[in-house]
Amino acid sequence: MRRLLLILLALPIAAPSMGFAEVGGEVNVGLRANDFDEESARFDEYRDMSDGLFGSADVLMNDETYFLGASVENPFLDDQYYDLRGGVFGAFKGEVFYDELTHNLSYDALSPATGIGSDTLVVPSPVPAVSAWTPFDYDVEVKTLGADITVDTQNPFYFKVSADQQRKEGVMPYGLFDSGTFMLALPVDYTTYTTMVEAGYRSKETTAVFNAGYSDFDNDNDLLTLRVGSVVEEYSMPADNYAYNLGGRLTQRLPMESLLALKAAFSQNVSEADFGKFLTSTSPTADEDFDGDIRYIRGSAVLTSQWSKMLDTRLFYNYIDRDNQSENITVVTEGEVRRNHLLEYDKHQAGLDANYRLNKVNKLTGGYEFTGTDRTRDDADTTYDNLLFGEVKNTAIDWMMAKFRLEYLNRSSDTDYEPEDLEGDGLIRAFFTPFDYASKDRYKGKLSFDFTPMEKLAMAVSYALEYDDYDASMFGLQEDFRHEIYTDVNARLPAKIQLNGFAGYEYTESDFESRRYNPGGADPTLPTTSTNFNWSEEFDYDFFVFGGNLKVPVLARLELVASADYQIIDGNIDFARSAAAGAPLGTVTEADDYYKTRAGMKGIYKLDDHWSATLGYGYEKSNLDDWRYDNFTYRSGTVYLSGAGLDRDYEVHQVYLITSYRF
Amino acid sequence: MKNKYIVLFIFPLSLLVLFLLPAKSEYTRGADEKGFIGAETCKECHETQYESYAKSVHSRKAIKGPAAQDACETCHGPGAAHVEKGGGRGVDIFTFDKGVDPEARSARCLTCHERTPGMDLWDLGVHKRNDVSCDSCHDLHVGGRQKPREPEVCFDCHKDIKIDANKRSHHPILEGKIRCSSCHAPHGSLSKYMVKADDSRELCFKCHADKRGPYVWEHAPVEEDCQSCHEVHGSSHGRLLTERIPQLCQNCHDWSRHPGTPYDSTASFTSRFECLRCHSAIHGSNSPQGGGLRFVR
Repeated sequence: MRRLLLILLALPIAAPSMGFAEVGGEVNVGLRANDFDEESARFDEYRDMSDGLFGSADVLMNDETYFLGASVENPFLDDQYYDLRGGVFGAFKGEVFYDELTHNLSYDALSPATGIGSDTLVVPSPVPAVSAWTPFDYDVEVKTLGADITVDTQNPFYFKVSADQQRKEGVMPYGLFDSGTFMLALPVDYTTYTTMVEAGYRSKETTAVFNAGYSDFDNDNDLLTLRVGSVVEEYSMPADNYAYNLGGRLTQRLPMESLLALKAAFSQNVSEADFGKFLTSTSPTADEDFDGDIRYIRGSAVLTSQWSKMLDTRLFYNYIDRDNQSENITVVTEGEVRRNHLLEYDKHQAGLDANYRLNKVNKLTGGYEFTGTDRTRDDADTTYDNLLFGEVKNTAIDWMMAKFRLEYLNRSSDTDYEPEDLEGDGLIRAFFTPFDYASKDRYKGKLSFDFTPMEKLAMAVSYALEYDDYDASMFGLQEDFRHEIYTDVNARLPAKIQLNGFAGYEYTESDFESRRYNPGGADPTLPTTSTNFNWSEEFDYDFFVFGGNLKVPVLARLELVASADYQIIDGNIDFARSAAAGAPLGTVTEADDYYKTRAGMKGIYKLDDHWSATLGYGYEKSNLDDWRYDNFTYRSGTVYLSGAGLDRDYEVHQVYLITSYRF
Repeated sequence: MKNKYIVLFIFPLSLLVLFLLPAKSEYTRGADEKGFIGAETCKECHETQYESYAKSVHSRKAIKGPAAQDACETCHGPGAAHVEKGGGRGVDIFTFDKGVDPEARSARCLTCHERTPGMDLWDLGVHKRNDVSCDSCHDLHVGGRQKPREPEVCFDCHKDIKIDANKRSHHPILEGKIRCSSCHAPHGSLSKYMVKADDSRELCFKCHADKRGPYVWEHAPVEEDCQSCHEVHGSSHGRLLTERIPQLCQNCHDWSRHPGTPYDSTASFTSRFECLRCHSAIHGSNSPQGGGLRFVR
């Protein structure tokens, strides 16, 4: 990586001797300091905001034939990025890049276990007092090194290849169940290698493309062991696996400005879990391995046609078949013989849509889409979706574009069992339907306007409504509402003042019915007791966001930029049950309640055409309240928590100075 | 293992030699094309635009682009009539103004770019069908890179995605670590939402290969659609989930005892901490024990 950096830094110096006629770019060097009133991993979740130096550089050199460029962002920080790119105009281009992404999840967690980050976690027995637990951070570093090449001369063939290696290291929150429940850490030591190749042929009428990809995932840890005193438990980890795909597509221009596109692809995903590594396992005994093997066949056909200047249509068909060739495993546990279920499905999707230009200012769009899915899943055997939509777009007024869209979906699902065959706890399946497969009617509408009353003023406003009615479900989701309003404005005012603003409001509400029961009490018609009762909940969220920025040139060389945004969500969950079941259920008034505010001011002073300096101040505050964190305790009975997510609030003041040089 | 990668590179490299065959220029101006005045004349009135063009890749003679053809008039059409009438916005000249038919604007670009890899799918894409033209996203009169600024350009139209990307839990789009074009093919695709994979699930596995399996114990929604549980751009709930836990899990699961229990504000502290506290292998499990069936091992 340092070599790449050195090459990069040498580029501007070497440019004239390399014969490049034009060299351009920008270098930014900054210094910042943070003052935390409250600190959280959420502030720098995906970025390294450390005190000290930061910066970026971008250089692009070219002449009539060649180009060479390089970029650096945040060198030596945890979110550093480098790329080196170059090529021959009209013939070839390539790029090498290195990217680091830090994903900070939660700081200052505590663990009664030693070995955090390794595949063996050891907790003394008895579990020590919280004061003796070890602090650690949940975070994952992602480092990606990659390259890609495209060869595209002006002959009919082109060729692309890319390859990258992604390395992930760190720990993530992970719940483990032993002689107690422990929130500990999943060691992340993953490496994924990916290679993709695409070769194409094109003529004026025909394009044919072949593509292939290979991805290999390696996990350094095969399983996770938890020792609590003398009790040892073992947990499976994401297994090594690989996947490849082979595919091709053909596009052919036809009469009537039609285009036919055909695509076919085959992919296979393979993994092997070695049961022999599970030392504490007694089952299965016959086979040491699980051979996972899933194959997909996909196909698509699309025909677009321009029937006249007014009418164009699109006819399409997509197919996917999942063939699960994995091994059936039989285990004996809790006195029962259990066999893994291998999910297979095939999906057919077909549709037609059309655009009709009624006149110069009105355009109508309409269509129909059918999706049929057949699964080897007894509670969601088949699903049929019928979708209808229509849209009208009007530009009758020069400075306004209006669009109105309506959509209706009817979903009908079927199970692979008869309700009368269900018994015991399983009887609930005659009444309860999972939401994503449940039969429903969905209605959507959206109205939007774009205004440009003046050349330097643009505004937009849109309103959308969605309603799902799960009328066939006795238990499960009953109804969903969603309202969305968004608006924004972009204005260039006199004296080169620029103003941008946006605001949005979302409201979601869901009604849900369910049954709480002890074994033998699944039938909802049974008399209500304190352990067997039907209940309902209504959860709703109000989300509001607004923000904007203002640029004001105060002097010939000085520009001030002010920005601010604010977002807030208020969640609420109401419960209800029959009085015969007991006392009324309590409303959860803090359900992912959250607000975040950001504000900043900076002044940019241009010393000359090359040099500028920016002095800025930023403020950011975030707060999350959820009922599950109320009166948080690290240990309660045999439940031992780490405090993952507990550092959810932050308040930060930041000052920074950036010097920029453009050339 | 290393041999596997050597083989993977030999094949592409051998194809590379094949594709480096000499290029053949195919462009010839039509006999009926008249009224061309040359770039120097355009420059007299449009110096700023000319200077930006001169710095752009379009001005390179090595490509079969404007510089190898009629410079400004390659895209704007012959300018003689425009000059004769004393100029003026849109006067006898093709402009890329908002009022001009988007299809006509794109057609100018596609004259050369219809053979750019991937552009054969332009007619199939959502953008073309919604009157988005090339210049809606690409600003040609700039030097250096002419790729649109992401995500800003995309957010101009996709305001709902802009809101989502700003939410508490989000992919690092605003932080610049994921670009819209990392996942979407803006010039058209045969896949839903124009994703750069056979389907959205395959797309997720490009970065999350640890979730790919195959597993001994499969969680059926995971095997069919990641979006059953996750938002892709951002969410007000943790882990990009579509709903708070336990509500999300209970939308599918009811059984005796705790799956069907209402977790209201009177529930004990130990009951509050999410289904995932125990069912942590929620994307699938390879445990040989029965616990794998319930994703707790």
